[in-house]
Amino acid sequence: MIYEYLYALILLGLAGFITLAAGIKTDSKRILGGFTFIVLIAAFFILLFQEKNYSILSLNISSFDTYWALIFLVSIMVVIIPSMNDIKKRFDVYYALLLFIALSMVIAAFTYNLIVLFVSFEGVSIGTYVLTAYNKTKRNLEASLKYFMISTIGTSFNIMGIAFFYLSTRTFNLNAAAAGIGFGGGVDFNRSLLLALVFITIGFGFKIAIFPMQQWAIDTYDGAPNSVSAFLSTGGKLVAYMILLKFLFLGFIPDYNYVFFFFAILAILTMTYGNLAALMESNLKRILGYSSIAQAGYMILVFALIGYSYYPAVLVSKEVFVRFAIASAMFYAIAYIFMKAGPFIAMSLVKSDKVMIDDIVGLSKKSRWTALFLAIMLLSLAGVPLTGGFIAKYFLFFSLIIGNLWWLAVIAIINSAISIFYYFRIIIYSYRKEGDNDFNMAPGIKYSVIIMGLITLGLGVSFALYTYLAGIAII
Amino acid sequence: MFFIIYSVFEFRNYTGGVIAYYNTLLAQFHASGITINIDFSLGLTGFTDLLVIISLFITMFAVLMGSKSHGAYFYGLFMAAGFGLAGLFMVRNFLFFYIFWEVVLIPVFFIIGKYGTGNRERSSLKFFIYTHIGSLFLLLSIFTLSTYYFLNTGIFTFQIRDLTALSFLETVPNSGFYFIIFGFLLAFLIKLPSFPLHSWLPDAYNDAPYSGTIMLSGGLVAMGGYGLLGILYPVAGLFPRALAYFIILLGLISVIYFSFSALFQTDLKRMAAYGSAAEMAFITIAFGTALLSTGYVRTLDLSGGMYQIIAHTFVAALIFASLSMLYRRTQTSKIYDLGGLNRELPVLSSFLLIGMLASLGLPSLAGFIGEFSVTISSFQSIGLYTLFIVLGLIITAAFYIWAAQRSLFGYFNERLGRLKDINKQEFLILLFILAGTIFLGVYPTLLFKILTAYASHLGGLI
Repeated sequence: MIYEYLYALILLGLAGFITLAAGIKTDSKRILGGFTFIVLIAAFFILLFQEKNYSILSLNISSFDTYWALIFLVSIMVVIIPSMNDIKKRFDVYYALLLFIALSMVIAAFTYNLIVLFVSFEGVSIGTYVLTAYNKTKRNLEASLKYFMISTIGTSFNIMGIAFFYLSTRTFNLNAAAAGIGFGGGVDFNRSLLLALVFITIGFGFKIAIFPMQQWAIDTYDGAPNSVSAFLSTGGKLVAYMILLKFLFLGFIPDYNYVFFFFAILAILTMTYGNLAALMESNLKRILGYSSIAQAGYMILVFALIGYSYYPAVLVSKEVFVRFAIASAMFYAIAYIFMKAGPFIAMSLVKSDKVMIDDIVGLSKKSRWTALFLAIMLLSLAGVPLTGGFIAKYFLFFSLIIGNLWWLAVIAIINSAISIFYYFRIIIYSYRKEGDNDFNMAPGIKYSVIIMGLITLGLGVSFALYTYLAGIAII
Repeated sequence: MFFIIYSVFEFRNYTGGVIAYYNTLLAQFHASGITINIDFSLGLTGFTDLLVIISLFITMFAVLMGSKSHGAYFYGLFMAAGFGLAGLFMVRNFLFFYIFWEVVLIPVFFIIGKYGTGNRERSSLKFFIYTHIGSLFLLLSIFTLSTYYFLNTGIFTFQIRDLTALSFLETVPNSGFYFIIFGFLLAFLIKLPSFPLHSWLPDAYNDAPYSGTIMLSGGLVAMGGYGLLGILYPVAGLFPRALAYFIILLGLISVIYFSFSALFQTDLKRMAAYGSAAEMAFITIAFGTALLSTGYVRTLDLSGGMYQIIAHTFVAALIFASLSMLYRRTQTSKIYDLGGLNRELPVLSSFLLIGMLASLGLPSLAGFIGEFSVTISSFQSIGLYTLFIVLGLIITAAFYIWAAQRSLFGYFNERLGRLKDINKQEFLILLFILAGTIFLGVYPTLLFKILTAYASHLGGLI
């Protein structure tokens, strides 16, 4: 029975419908949330232990794809328990939507067919439009509307990009396209491929919040419920990131020169903009939003590296270089989920709807451990050792150096130093003694923050994970 | 304590080089001609052994100076900083060298930011960002080094032993090598601190609590010295000569500039901060001149530099501990608000005076040995320019004597009211540090033997 490779997908889809159906009987967040959590864990283990290197339908199940599918599931798992506090009612639809999003993400991780990629990506997008507006407050609705408008534009860019891509490669399958348009391949280099590159970068770049397409993200993260912001800035971003990674690695081999310059410039602009804008902000959720833009800047350096791997100036062989670059992207993804979602979830500790930086004063007085682990996650975002963010950044800079790209590494490092200002500002504020802010110490939020801080610490010493990723980091 | 006794016992017959080497492979990747090795390795040399000892001492002094009102968090932070320091001196792998290098910073950042005085949040941030920028360039240098090693051998590794092998470094192209040196020097000179990179120092020293200042001046500054003399010197044979002159120039400017800055301070704590920085400039000079000199003079130069690090720990601890007790009584450290303290606080002011004298290099106290060796041995390479060092020493003497005269002697400032001299516990703490200072001053051979063995071994490497 070949469908045994799809058990995880079937499970996620069925569980989504079961959750919806259960909503007729109950609206208990514990039952529905617990069920969703268990289903996700089951799907996680099924994917983890099933046989790799298998193709079925248009899905291609390799270690690389499974890794991404797993971290997408993780990115949903981390928001399930905190969202019990953020969401007020109708938990059945909420959790069912999360399960459907999980299904779409896993399909996106496994497929190399552009149509399926597009559809699954839309599945994620549509789910998150609803989630953003879920509490139906004015702020939620405004955030959702902005998100919806901008994303729709991105979608149209995607469609056009895929159409242009088809024009030059005559296939929707990325693997086939890579075989066809590679050096010495049959199809000649075509200008429409370049157009496809631009359109697809813009389309998915909206979701990743690359520099000129970033402003919706700030408003949406600010307006959405905290756990939804956490998901949007981690899972929602990473799925677009992964699609773009596949695309650039397989689809645009003749355009490597453009890929490199395009993304090197975009990365510099994105991280510089994110860091500088965050310096002047005093709304905490917006600071985190800008920080997530800056992090996106570091992450898309990997795209520039993929383009650069064809250059003769690279010190080591192309294969080694790409391995390093993609492995660091993969490590960055897992570290990013915890260190970015954690602070967003910690914003639920503050009782007011609009979280200003003064609202977090006195957190350490109220709960020492929460403040400590929040600080650890912020340190991780700043790239300080013994946290996951350090190893992620460390190996990213390492691959820049291996590629002989010192100038890019120096720019990234200066940005990293700038970012210290605002991350440490939050830490300093949370350790101030004065002020009598009241915090919402619901166990769901408190322990989520602590556990995610612990995992961030744990990732900080998992060098073995990186060497493992270097082994599977070939698409 | 056991560690100290054991290591003194163990190092009696020390002849240089790394002993007590320990290595474990944490993670490995091996495929298609690439090997990535991530090791954790520890090793001690005579020099680092002494540094580990002083890092333990300095943590102890710092913690003893803490006020009772500080909770467990405070002591935990100091333990973390002490752990980072000891780890830094022992580790023989650049990856973990960097990690420990940063691990020390974070607790100190919190110590300044949480328990400091004045504009503490700004100072702690300034301190962190300054040193962090240096660290990041250090990181890039480490990567570059590792990448070149990979090109030679097909193995990615961060082992200090492999990456600082001269046979390997000679194959690194010049542009890459200069980039590497730049990163290392930047990080170490910021930490020391040396002249153009010092502006974090007065703020951080001044706004830190006194325990934090002791940690900063004794512990963190030793990191920079260790970086120069322990990490960089073994490969320094490949340095261009112009760079050596540049480093000496930086050192000379630092000595004179910091002494003059101290001369114009009106706050004892700030003055002691600049004085401590002026002392550390001797390490820069020792490093620079040792690059140029040869034979026994070089050994003396290097040992002097290393001795200076160790001695400085005790001297700085003595000064800042006495100042801390002084501040607890008078609630001020402004020189013009003090005066004639010898009348009310005879014991405490004597300790402070001895600290100041040790810092200005009075013979028979710890500060003298290192400064004297460095000054003498630098004559071989820079000739009469040694006079600038002497000038620095004279200015140092000037401001310390002036400060002592103005605040400890003369008329008592009656606005301070009745003051109570130190109690037994505080006396014992100070006595312990003082005993160390005097011991290092009158019997330097104990440590000098180990250091010269280490330094002559280093010389053999070049």
